[in-house]
Amino acid sequence: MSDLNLTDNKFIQFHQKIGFKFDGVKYYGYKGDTIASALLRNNLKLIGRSFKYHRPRGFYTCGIEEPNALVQIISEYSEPNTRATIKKIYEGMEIESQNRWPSLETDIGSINNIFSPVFPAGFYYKTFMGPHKNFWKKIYEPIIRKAAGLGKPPKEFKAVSTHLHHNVDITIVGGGLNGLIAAKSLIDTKYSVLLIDFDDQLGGILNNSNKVLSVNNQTPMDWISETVKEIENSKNIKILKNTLVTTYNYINHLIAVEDKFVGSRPLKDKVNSTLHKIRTDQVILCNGHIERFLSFQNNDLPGIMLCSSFEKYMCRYGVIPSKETVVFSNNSNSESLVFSLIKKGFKPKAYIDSRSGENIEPDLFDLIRKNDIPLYTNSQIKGAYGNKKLQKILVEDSSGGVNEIKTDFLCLSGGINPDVHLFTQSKGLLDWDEKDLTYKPAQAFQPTITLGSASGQFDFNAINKEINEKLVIFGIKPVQIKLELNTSHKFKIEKLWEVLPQKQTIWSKSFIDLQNDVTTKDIRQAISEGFDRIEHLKRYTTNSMGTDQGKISSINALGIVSDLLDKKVNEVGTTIYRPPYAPLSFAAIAGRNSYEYYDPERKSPIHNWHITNGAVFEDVGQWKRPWYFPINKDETMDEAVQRESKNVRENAGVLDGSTLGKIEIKGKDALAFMNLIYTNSFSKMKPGTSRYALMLGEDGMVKDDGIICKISDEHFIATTTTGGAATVLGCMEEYAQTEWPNLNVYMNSITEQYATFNISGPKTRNIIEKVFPEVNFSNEAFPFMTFQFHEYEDTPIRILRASFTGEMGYEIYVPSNQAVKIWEKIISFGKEFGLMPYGTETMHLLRAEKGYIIVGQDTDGSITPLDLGLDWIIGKSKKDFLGKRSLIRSDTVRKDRKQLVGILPTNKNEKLEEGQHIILDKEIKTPTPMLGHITSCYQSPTLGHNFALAVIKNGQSLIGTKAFASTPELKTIEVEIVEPIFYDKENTKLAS
Amino acid sequence: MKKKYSIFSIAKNALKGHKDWPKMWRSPEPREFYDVIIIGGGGHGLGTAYYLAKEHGLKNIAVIEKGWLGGGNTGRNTTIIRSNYLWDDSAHLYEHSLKLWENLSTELNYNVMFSQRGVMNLAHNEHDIKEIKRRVSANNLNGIDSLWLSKEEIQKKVPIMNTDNLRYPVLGASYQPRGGTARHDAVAWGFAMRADEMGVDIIQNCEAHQIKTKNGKIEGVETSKGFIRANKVGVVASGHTGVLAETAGIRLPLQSKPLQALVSEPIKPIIDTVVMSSAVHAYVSQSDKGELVIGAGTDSYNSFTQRGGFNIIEETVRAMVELYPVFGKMKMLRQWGGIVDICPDASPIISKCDVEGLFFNCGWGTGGFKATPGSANVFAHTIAKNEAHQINSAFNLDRFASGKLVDEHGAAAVAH
Ligand SMILES: Cc1cc2nc3c(=O)[nH]c(=O)nc-3n(C[C@H](O)[C@H](O)[C@H](O)COP(=O)(O)OP(=O)(O)OC[C@H]3O[C@@H](n4cnc5c(N)ncnc54)[C@H](O)[C@@H]3O)c2cc1C
Repeated sequence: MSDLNLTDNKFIQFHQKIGFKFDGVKYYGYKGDTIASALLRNNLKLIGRSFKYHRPRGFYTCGIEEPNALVQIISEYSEPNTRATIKKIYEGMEIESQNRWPSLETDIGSINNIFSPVFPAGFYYKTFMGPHKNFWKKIYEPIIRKAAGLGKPPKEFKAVSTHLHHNVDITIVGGGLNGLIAAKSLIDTKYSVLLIDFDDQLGGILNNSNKVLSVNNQTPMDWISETVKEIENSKNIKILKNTLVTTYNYINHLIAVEDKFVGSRPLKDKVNSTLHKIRTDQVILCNGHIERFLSFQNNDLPGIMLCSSFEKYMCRYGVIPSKETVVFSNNSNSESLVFSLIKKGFKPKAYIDSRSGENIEPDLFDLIRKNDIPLYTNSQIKGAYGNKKLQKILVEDSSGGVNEIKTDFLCLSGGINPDVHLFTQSKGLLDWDEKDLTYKPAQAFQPTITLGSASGQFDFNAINKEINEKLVIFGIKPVQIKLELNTSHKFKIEKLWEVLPQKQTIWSKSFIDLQNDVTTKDIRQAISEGFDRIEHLKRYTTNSMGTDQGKISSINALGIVSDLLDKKVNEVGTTIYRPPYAPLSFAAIAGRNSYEYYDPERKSPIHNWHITNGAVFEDVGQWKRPWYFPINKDETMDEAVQRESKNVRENAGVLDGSTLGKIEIKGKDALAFMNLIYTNSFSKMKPGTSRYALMLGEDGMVKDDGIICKISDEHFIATTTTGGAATVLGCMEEYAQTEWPNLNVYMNSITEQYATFNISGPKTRNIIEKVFPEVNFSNEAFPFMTFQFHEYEDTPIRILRASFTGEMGYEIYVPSNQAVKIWEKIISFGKEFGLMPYGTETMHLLRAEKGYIIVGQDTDGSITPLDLGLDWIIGKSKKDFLGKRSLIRSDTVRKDRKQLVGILPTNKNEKLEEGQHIILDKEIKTPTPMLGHITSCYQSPTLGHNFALAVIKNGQSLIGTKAFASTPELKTIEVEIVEPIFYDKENTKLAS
Repeated sequence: MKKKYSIFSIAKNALKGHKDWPKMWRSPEPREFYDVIIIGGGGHGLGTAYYLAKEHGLKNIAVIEKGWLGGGNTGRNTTIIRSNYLWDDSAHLYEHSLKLWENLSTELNYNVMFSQRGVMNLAHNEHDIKEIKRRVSANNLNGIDSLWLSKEEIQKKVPIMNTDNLRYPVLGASYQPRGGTARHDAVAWGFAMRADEMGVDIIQNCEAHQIKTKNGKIEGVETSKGFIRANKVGVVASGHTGVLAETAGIRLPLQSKPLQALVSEPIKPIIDTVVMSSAVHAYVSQSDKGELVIGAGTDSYNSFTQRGGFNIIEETVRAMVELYPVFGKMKMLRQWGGIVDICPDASPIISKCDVEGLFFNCGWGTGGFKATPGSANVFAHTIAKNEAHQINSAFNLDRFASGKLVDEHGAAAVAH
């Protein structure tokens, strides 16, 4: 094992051995290990195969920026594409490598590497077009698809995750050195503060490197634990660990995801992750920097790693990936690694720097000299070589000579970038820093402060000054942190993006995006083809489009392009990072709002009665409505509907109409408002009467209908369709607030406050007279379309005489909490008269026989009242109402519009279907002109055959003629166009 | 065609290390005058220039684009292509387009990866069933391939779908086998390259500031690269068309809103068709790279920022994890938005207007990618001939006065 020391510390519990499997082989690590640190401990360096060329790949980093080391977690529903560099191991964990077959060592796909010369950037745009276009669908695309993709699909998994909302004054992102100082300075201020870190240990760079020797004369570890304790004990600051801020939205709204099972197997029915939604006045970004790599030939070999990552493995995990590594750098960031290596007694095999001796940090220079480490200044790595692992490198020294160094490991630093991902998500602007060769935050777009290396402030000595300046707005006491360093306090870098290979062949590859296998050759090709805008380049080559979004490499690509085009980097552009910062679990996003909580199930107050009585339900909007009531298991829907509807016509039936929307409209100007919102005129209506009414859109098309009860000029109750209730109320509110704000009117939904029972059929009167003996239901006392308020056993109820079935009927409105009692009474009193409950399907059939429309079924947003033959509903003398203007447009007054008609099959045994179209010709030749379509269609027990409603062009004048209905098989059925009323044309029943 | 692409050209270039590929397009500075200026270098604008040059013999054409080619909705959409629209006028337009798609890679000699893997629209309640069956029937009579699939047939095509155990169970679907997806960027690039070869000036980083008219006639366009005169101007600027029209004193019935999409991390193939559900707001297909491409909804308010609310993403994702339980263990890789321009009837405008020489192609809203070649083709006709092609005659501006709307967002329609 490549362990450094085995004494427990806060990061790793060395006494706690953990067994896990990788590609079927059992390994051991320790509590606190990531998959990567554990495998490196076991000297495993090959972890996966690359996307396109199936090249062997190892661990390039030690963090979330990892491009290569993505694995499949078999023991967690086979979760794909998990970063081995951050996922912690637990006992029994099973891991598999990805994108290889049959095995990681022997991967057939690596043949792509041989063919790679014909897979340049965008090769697929230029080929796969012949010999016939079917080849794409049948051959090329399936092959491409199978080859692509990283991990395998996971197993089915029921997301368990929750959402938590925060409203705080200040959110500090990142609990490293700067984040901790900032948080500490805010202790006991008036601000509520959230401090968020992705790690389970706060401290950032203090934990991950040996850069800092002491903080305020304490060891960094002591300082961290003391500071964290102080923050934890404060009343105004809350710390969220294991929480990654992924998204920085407008109005300082952050999304962060917390892993609830770090280092243990997620439990099935426990919350696995929490999505934090944070609204905050001020964001302080202290999320540090990311080291970038360099391009040279085969810079992707396992055994190549970034300098700071190597150091992090040592400091944080107590594991040394190699005891004899070579270091290659163009900047100060390698200094601390060399220091750490020497301190631990693992002198680097060689130190190579593209800078000249005098530009290298003097302390580093001395250290290397003192320790007799072979030093190559003004030198560059021309290439790395080896079979599935690094074996040697070629170094071009200052004199131009090429030296071969045998080594199994190489640490690399190409500079550092402030981690500007979140800052750019917030729409902050960046500026190119020619000295530090990186983009830095320049101008915030929202109330955002950046501190430390996140702000591009790479000087340890400037920390106090920056914090005191930037946090002065919070009135903090000036901080005076005393830092002693092991390395130089300042950052220096010399430009180097790519080293060209010693010998260029058509197989040479210097990678610029490791995950997507993009080479610098691809970049050159794209530029020469004219894809010189950075967004084009990205899309054409797929550079930085991987799951790491090019965190260690996208700036290098900009550098290379700027050199090729001979432009400044900021003239080439910046890549825009798209949220989230790192892939964000769908389960976390969904939270609790799925499955049983996807959408509320709305139920009538007597829903349980329906269940007890065997109702079959249908979804109507959010409502569960009884569809039909089979009397036993064997009765089919058709049978039930025939029985139910026959019974309504012969005896009586009762429908639970509670789901219909009910809106109460009140106010001094309620009458004026109603006259404007509905087509009807309510002015002359007497209190206590009701009216069928239509609501139109501004385009003059029917949007909803209902019955309006007028209690007084200042008080109305309207019903709406079940699905349209919310829209209608919304529409009323919108117009009341925006178009007619002068009207004194208020409306309120009372849908759920009242249950509605619609009783209809010839025996209705017998039944309700028995239920409500004190009410006089005679035609004289209770005429059609009137309503009355009564009391039933101390319960106030409203009874409306109306009917949607064509039979005489009443609607009883009762308070929801009394609904069951009254419903059961009706059912039991009705038994002797043959009363039966019926469902929505029977209701649909009965109303269709009578020619009553259902908005949304017989209309589709393109039908006017006139098209429905409902011109009598329009208050023509009214000066204005919603949609009036549109009713006189040239197209709405057209005579040959689609109009509502009835349809009967000529051969009465034929069955029509909803959605079938009506055409003129018996033989169908496509495309064929369509007159219109069947909107409603039922088998009528009363008529004894099929009948339908339809909207067809010029329908009213076609009544009495023949046409054809088309079937899905493109056959036709002869039909007759008739009046859309099939039952009781004279309306004798309603008023009986 | 000057640039010829094939496996042979790739092999030849491989030997040269892919250093000598010709430029896809020139980067010209604007001339003083053009016969036609197209504002907007998206798929529709570039396609229009292509067809103007190819089919109408016009040579002096410029496309001006404020950013980079295809950087608008063309490069931001979920690439669903289908023609199974309800109304005749729409069906003919989108079918015209679909037919062009079927031959586009060959025509451009550039692989736009048009993948006819079929498009499914799910029904989740009785109402959906009725509407979808109606649409299928209309499609069939219009000669468009369209099928009704039972739940069992859906399960066979998309085994990962949870059809029963969810709030709104899947009851059936419409299916258009010839529908599918395409590679969005390639469409813009392909049209741009071939238009450029025919002499069209494609001018990036050139923003139109004002459309200038005089006495009811077009004069030219004031741009960030100066004033450019033109005989005719076609505005194809999607979400920004309304703003540009206003500079010529024309108020278009458009609302601009952010529409969002997202992709997952790439995985091996799990879904071989495009599945859309309007009822629960979830659209998904899997790209050739392996990413799940997921379409979300629009924000409820107007906006010109290319970023929508996070709640919209949540809406879609919560439906997704329920409909496809395997998605629970997957992750969102990227999310983004585009500004879509929506007409009151959810149908496009491809029309001339009261100003002589000024034309609009806009209002494509959430679903204009599929129309790219068709729209461009008939718009080129409209510009060249000063009158609509039969296929786009219904999509004129007059319909908002006459009321002859093509209402595609009524009960029966689906977005995208
Ligand atoms: C998230 C999302 C998902 C979608 N999904 C689908 C789908 O699945 N299927 C489908 O068919 N459609 C879909 N669409 C719609 C589709 O993307 C668009 O309808 C279509 O791409 C529009 O193409 P266009 O060329 O008209 O517009 P764009 O591609 O937006 O091009 C307009 C161009 O005009 C430029 N421009 C704007 N103002 C100016 C100016 N003043 N001067 C110069 N140039 C200017 C813009 O920069 C832009 O490049 C989706 C859209 C979005 C946003």
